[in-house]
Parts: sequence; structure tokens; C-alpha cells
Amino acid sequence: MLGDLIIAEPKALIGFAGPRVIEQTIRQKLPKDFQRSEFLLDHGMIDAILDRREMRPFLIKSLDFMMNPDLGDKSHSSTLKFQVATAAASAIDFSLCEFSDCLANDHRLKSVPRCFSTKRSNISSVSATRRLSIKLGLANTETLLERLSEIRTSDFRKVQIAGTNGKGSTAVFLDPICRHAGIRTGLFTSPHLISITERIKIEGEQISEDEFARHTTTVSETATRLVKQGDLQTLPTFFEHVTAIALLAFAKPESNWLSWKRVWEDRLDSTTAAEGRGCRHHAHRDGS
Amino acid sequence: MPEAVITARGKVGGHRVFAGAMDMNFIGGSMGSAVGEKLTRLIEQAIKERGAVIIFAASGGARMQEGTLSLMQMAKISAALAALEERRLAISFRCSQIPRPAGSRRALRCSAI
Repeated sequence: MLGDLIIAEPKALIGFAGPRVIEQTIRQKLPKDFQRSEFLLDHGMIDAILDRREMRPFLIKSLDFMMNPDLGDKSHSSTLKFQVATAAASAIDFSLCEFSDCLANDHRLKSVPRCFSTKRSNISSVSATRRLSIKLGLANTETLLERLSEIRTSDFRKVQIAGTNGKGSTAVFLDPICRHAGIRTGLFTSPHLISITERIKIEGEQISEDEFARHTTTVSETATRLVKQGDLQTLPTFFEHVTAIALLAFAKPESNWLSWKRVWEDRLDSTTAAEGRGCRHHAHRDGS
Repeated sequence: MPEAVITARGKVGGHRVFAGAMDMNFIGGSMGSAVGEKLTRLIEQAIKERGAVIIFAASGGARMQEGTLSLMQMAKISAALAALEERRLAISFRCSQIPRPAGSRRALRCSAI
């Protein structure tokens, strides 16, 4: 049983068996700072590191958010539960960032706790869009992609892999095969296990956090502007965001790209919006 | 200090909060029957009064001197926390702290609670 929010003090040692016990048991050298809060924050086990002097204001902000009756028992629990579950299940190290974004969005907080760097909270703002519900149809994505002028999807050929099981493996096989054949590739997959940047690979290399953050800014700003202008009804969902970010990333080096997504109906998937823009569609069927 | 944990009910920023603070100075902040029972009652009271639970965990682990009974406390507290979560009444926080004065290394082992 873990708390909804786990905060540690700087350099705290947190664990069950201590590092010396583990070292002697598994006969391996453990990394420096193993089981220290900083290490655990990086690996997604805790949500934040705060000096105890900063804890009170932070706790009050968190309580304001979590205990707010306006959010309703259901919505507030499920939102948090979802985030906590996501954080725990996939060891996402952005959980508190998501949380802080929720705080910022839902309560118009002036400041976000200072433990979040811009880069992180930037990346996490994408994760925060997970709270938005699913939207059917492609109109939203199409509008968004059209307005992102950097994306010229016609410049690259695409392979979209859809199905039930084996999409990921197929994509992972196909990617190096293409590269061996001299084709520059971008790979867009979901879900991610540890970091959201795992979803986007260019030439087999995972996208850097900086680059991801930069594209995120472009996408979010464009989306916000479109909503203000009334061209978009709502902000893009989490997946639409990431799809746009991937396309932006792929647009830079002229790469062919492979796309894989977990969906039943590929024609209604965000990635299909890119396909629909006058490009050739290479459907790839896996074994299932 | 009568035990390794102090529990209290109060308000933080206007919210009803049930807080428990452990102290490394009492047998290494280890968790025996009394510590387990105090934390469990704290959580149960929070469920009753729809409050938030904040636990400042700074524990060396289960209290060896009390044997198996110490281990049972972890299950007991976990069950209480699960009840808290199931009812979706309140939110629990865990604030892990470690006093780390120069030269001495103190372990915080809070995975069990």
C-alpha cells in the first residue's frame, strides 16, 4: 500500500533491505546513491523530493487539490487513481509533474513547486492531457496537423501497423530492417514503460528530452491557439498530442517512418489522420 | 517519548488531517505492536471522519525485539490503508524523512508501511 503522493527528504535512504544486504546477497555492485531519494525519484518510485521547510506549503496545495469537494469524489479519485496507477504501473517518473500540472490547471496556481524544471513540467504537460477523455473521429487531429506547418507528411512514406497482438514486435523488427536497407526511419510506438520519450525513435535512437520538450511546446501552443480561435473544439487528447509531437520530430530529418499504435480500428486512430493527408498508406498486417 | 510514533488529528491549510510522525530516536523508529496499532487507528479514524492521512515515515524497519508481532503490523496497516483507498474518502500521503546528521547514516525503511 503506497500513499497517493510520496514525498521524500533530500538524500533519504528508502528501501526494505539496505544496500549492503542487497550487495552481499546478489553479489553485485550497486549503483551509487542506490535507494537514495534522488535515485528513486529518477526511477519513478517517489513523486518528489522536498526539504522539510518546503513541505508545509506543498502539502497544503496538494490537500487543496485532493480534498476539493468540487471535483466530486468520483472524478477526483479516478483522476488521481489513474495517475497514481499509471505512475506505479509503468514507473513513469513524471507522476508528480502530471500532478503539479493538474494543480496548475485545475486550481490556477500561480507557481508550480520549484522541484520541477521547465523541461520536465513541459514534458509532463503532455502526460497531463491524459486526463481528457477519448474523442472519436479524426477532425481534431487533422486540424491540428494541418496547422503545424512544420509537418509535411507528404515528404515521407509511412507504414501503419494495426492489429491486436504483435504490433510492437513487428515495428521493432521492421525498423532495423529498413535501416539496413538504407532507409532513414522514425518509429512511433506506444505505450512507454519508463519515459514517454521511448515512444519516438529516429534512426533507432530515442528522442532526447530536450527535443521532446521543444516539440511539446510547439504542439501545445498551437493547440491552445486553435482552441481560442475556435478551430478546435477541445484540446487534443494525450495520444493526439504525442502523435503530433512524433510527426514534428520526424519532419526534421527527412525520414520514412513507421507507426504502431494499439487500436482496434485504425481508420479512427490519430495516426491515421497523418495517413489521410494525401499520402500513400502502406497497411501492414501482422499475424493476428 | 512513549513510542516511536506520535499521532494527531488537526487541520492543515483548513483541511482535516490525521498525521503520524515517526521518530528515529526511539529504538531506531522501529515498528512494534504499539506503533502499528497507533497508525492503524489513525487511518481508521481518518476513514470515519473523512480526513487525509499524512505519515512521516522514518523507520528502521520492524522491531526485532517484538518478533513476529512486529511483522504483523505491516499487514494490519496495509489493510487499513486499503480500506482508506477503497472508500475513496481520503487521501494518504507519505512523507519520507531521514535525519542525516554529519557522520551518522540512518536508514529509513518505509516500504512496509
